Amino acid sequence: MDGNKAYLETLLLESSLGNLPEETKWLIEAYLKDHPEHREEAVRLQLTTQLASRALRAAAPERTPLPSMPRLRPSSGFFTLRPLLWPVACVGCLLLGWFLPGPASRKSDFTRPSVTPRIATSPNPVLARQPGAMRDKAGDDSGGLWSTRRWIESRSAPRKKQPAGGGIEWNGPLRPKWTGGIQ
Amino acid sequence: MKQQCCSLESLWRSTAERLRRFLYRTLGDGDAANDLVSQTFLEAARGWKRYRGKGSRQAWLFGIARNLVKKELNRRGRQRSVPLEEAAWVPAAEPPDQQAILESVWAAIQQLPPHLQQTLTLRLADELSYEEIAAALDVPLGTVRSRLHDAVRRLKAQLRSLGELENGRE
Repeated sequence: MDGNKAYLETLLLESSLGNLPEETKWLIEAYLKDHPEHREEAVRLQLTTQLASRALRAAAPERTPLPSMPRLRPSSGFFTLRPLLWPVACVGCLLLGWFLPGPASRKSDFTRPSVTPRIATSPNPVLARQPGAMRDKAGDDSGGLWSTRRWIESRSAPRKKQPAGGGIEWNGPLRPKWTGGIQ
Repeated sequence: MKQQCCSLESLWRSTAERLRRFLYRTLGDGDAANDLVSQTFLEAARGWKRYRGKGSRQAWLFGIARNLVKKELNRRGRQRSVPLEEAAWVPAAEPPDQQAILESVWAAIQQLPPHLQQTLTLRLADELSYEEIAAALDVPLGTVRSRLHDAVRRLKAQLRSLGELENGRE
């Protein structure tokens, strides 16, 4: 059996088993019109599957009514609780933020740098720097991690007034124009 | 034959009957087949999101059914599939001359090896797609194709030797 014949037989088998698209069936039909010597084989295969199909269907199991489709319910409470998961997670995070950073920040040596810019008053700022100049906030509880509690407390507490006349103190060797320094 | 479906309900309408026939042939018990059809759909509903899109949903469903059948057969401790000769014959549906031909065809099918009989039955009687048969029997798609070709070739040779193909053509 040459390759073409084997290929044609495969196509005819697939066609008889109903596994070919319509377009391919038309092509086979057109081919068989041009090559009638293969038509006999095609008809035999078609007839074989038709007869087998009828015989097998006649012996199909006795028809009993199909049960109705099972009523599908979620298998666990997880699916019903799912919309609540996000709010619960958010509340959990807020509570963690409230309770967790307090003790942690007390143990920490980290001090937040002063917000007000400090400029050395000596002509030579490096020599004049005091050893504890940058640690003047040590022991102050205002540093440390951000927490919900601190945020709420800072919002609710009355704001401290800025000292009057507190501007930029400039005692460096070069004085800006408006303070009468170097012209 | 590949059908697109988007919901479990449409899958039920398109597949439940074929699934039931497959389960009946495998288990040989109509009630158990009906139970397993329902169980298959329940499993499918639970694992609906696990479906990765490899193959059709119908084939996926037949894969679930096959696993349930394995469990059921393990539970029962025996392998039982309905031999074709035990299945009910419905002669009244065919005219008498055709009935004789179909009986010959029936006899020829019974002479096929069991794995070819099974594959041919799933295709021609239960109208399963190749993909569904592969999932149901747990064999590659190419094996399904080669088994079907082999079965039809053998059947054709037998019917030809009996002269039934010429009679059936009339």
